[in-house]
Amino acid sequence: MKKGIDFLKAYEKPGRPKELSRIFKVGMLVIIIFYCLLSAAVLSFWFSLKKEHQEINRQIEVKKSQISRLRKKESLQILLKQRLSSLAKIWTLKKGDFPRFLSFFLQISSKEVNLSEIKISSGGTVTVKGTAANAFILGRFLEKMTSNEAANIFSDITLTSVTRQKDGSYNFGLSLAYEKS
Amino acid sequence: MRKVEDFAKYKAFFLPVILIIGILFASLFFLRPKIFEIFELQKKVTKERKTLAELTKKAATLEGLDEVELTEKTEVLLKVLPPEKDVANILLTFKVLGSQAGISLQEVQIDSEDTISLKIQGQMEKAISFMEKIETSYPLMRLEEATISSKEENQTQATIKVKFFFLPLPKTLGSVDSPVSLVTPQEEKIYQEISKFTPVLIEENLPPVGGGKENPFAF
Repeated sequence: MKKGIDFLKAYEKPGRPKELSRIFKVGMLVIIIFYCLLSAAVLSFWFSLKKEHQEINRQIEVKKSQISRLRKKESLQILLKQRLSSLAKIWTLKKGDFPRFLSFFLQISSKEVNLSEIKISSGGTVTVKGTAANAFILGRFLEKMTSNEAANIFSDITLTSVTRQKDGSYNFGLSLAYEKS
Repeated sequence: MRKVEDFAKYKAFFLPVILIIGILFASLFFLRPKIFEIFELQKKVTKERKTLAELTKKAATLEGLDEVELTEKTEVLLKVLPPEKDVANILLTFKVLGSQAGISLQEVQIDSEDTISLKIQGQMEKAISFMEKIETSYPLMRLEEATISSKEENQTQATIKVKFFFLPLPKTLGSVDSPVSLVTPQEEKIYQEISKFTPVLIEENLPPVGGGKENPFAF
């Protein structure tokens, strides 16, 4: 029988599968330990979170029942707040100080100066119509209208008309603007 | 024969491979859902912690409020800003204020939903006093326009446009976890100003109402 060399057959080192299997086993052990540790960590974290979640929920329920007992106070507070915030808006609309303006006109008018009409609007304007006995009195009246006191009340004062009458008296018209308080 | 040999050769790898497959399955069907659950729980816990903090704050705030003081303040504010439009009450207020100031109320006209025009006559000082009273009495009213003309000696006639206010009661109280809005310093200042207002329609100012017979069948 003729013997030949089989070149295609690889040389197998004796014992290699055993080594591989040992490495595999050790590797597996490491993986299993790591997996077990990871699982334990995940589980314990999940458990603690679950407990915390339950505890917080319990505390929330306690607080809710405490708040329910204070419902009357809460409704009063809501009502108070609703009214006050609306009043704050009304307050910011600002107002013209009508009585103050009228008191001022009452103070500066005299027998010689007759104010026939005063019209005050909340928009910030005042119109005055009147009659002065003569030019001198009208001048004095206009001087009073430009005094410091008037300047404190009105921001802008305009003489809109002056008409001399047959009897020597003067009809005049004034337009005043005020800063709303 | 060769197959049996191969099987014997790889026999040592079977257990680790099965374990790897087992770990993969366990990860897929046990660990993965738990990890997702943890994320969900963390989100929930964060949200609940916030809710608890808000509720604790709300409970502490409510505990700190004085019920008697709140009741007193709301009573005043309900008179200043009534919950409904009460024209009869407003007209009665004008009547009482007019008689207090000493002017005669000549004409009353309801212009719009919240505006009333008044025609008054009297001395200028008294007309001024009447206007002052309108703006410092409750229910809350504001002067919109005033036209004052002199009629006779020491007599003035004025047409005043007055705006009145009302505010319906809140329909809902809000949920338990909605925060309590506290009164701001600006609002407190407004309340202090309003508390100085004078009530007009007190018992003695109201007109007497007839009735109350002992026997309704007897004359």
